[in-house]
Amino acid sequence: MLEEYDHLGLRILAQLLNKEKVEAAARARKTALRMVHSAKSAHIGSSLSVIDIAIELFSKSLSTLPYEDVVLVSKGHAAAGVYAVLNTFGIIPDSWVNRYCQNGAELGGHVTSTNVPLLELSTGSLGHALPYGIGRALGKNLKGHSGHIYVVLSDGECDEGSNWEGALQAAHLKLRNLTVVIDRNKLQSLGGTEDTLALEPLMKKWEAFNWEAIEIDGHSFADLNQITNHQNQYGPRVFIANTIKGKGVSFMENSVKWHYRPPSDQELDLAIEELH
Amino acid sequence: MRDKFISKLTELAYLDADIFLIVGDLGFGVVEDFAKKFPNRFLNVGISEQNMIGVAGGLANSGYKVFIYSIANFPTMRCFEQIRNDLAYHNLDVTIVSIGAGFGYGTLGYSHFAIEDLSVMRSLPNLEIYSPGDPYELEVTVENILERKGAKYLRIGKNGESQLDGQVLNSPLFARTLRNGFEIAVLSTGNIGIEVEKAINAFHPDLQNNFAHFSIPSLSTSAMESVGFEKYNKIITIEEHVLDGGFGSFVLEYLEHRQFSKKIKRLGIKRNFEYVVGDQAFLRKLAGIDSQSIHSELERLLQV
Repeated sequence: MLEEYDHLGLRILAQLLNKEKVEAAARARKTALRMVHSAKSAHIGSSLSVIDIAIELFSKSLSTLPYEDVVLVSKGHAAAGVYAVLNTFGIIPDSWVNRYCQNGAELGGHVTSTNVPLLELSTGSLGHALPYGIGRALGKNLKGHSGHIYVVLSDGECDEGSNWEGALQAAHLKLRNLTVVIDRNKLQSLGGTEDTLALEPLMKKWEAFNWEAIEIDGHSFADLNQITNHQNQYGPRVFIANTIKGKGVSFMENSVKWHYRPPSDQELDLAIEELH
Repeated sequence: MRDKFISKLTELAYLDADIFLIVGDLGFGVVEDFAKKFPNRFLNVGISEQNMIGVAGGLANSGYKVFIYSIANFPTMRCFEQIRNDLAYHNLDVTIVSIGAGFGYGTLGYSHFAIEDLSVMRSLPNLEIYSPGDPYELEVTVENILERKGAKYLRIGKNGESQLDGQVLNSPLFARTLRNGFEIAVLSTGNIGIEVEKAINAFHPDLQNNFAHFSIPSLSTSAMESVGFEKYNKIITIEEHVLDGGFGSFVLEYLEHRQFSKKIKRLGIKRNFEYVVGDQAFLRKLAGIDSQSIHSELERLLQV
């Protein structure tokens, strides 16, 4: 792994300016669109929503030695977005991306850690990564290992009770090397989060669980930079990152339809054009 | 067996700084000593089984050999998907220990019966399944599995089990011979083995020679291989677990795999068993897996 790290020169990638992160995000969005189009697969809306968050976290994680930081994508259905970001950073080869969701492919429709550096937990069923991340953060603390644990949750995922078990646990352990980012696009599978199983007041809920809760714009890197700045972090932090499902493609934005639908040939062209 | 488990783990924790014990708010009067001796390697996660499995997985991937201690149904069925996705699929070094196998907590009612756990756990990838028959087998098992990386399930009885009289066990991956015999191979797993011994001892000494009794401490192919089925005409399996997908099914599947054509009988709990409250002895009798019922079954098997 170390060799691959050196070979790829990832430290350089990590020194991205916010302007460069914006460019990387646009590239990743186009890649994700091509992936779901060719695979005729779902979840492009969730992928476009989380890409800026993923750029921020993985670029930070690439600035530390491999496996020092850990990024856990609990919302595993945003796999295309996550793979596209890792492809943009040269971690996942184009050939894998091109075979996404094909028979026998390396990469499937939910985040899998198999053979992919930087992804250590396969997800796909919601509500799994926070408890795991807590164990990871506690393990690092007790073993004296450095690095931070980031857990990316979807907002709809906050329906899962296991997250709230984890919320109790992390605060109880006062884990200062654990940060949760909630991709708050306000849409879940069949409709709005507030119409489905209301989450608000979401920030107050986390605060009531003794977390430091911070609301940010999940598409502004000036805001997203706060996630990876751990000065004065004395316990678990949660960032409620306000995002737009389908971000970057006008006809996909804020639409439940694009939770499942892959774009047609024409829609793909239109989408790519918008991202130029 | 729970006391033996904790005392053995405590002893090993002195030698191995990576042993970590997680409890799910259970183990009153059992786990305190470990917690006191190794406060940095002990965590009570409260009543949060899903969280418990995830935390264990994360700790394992940070370099710990994690043991989860809970009872009966809680560390298996309540958090089954966490075990499936987070532990078994990733094959993390976590041993789930469930106390009170079978009807061990029978008086607490159906919620606390651990009688379907083997079937559900057997279906998972990578996960090794251990089910020692007495405190001695448990001790050998705990020592042995510490050297084996990966996800494991350890099913043990509650407390006060007497030792079975039998051969030395070098590894839980082998069958332990409790008695040699000529015609019928009697296979049991877990602490129901003591009922089987009583059942065989109730025969006239001349007849006892017909039965070879093996305690099977792990549901592994190697344990099956070590039995030597070709020497016996008939086989009977006994388990304190539902028959569907349990220990007997495991043996059947092995025999099918090896294409052994033998007369086989499985004794266990029937899925339509009328669940009532009672202590272990009472419920075993009701389910037809107490020593008398086993004796009758062995008698029938001798005659066919």
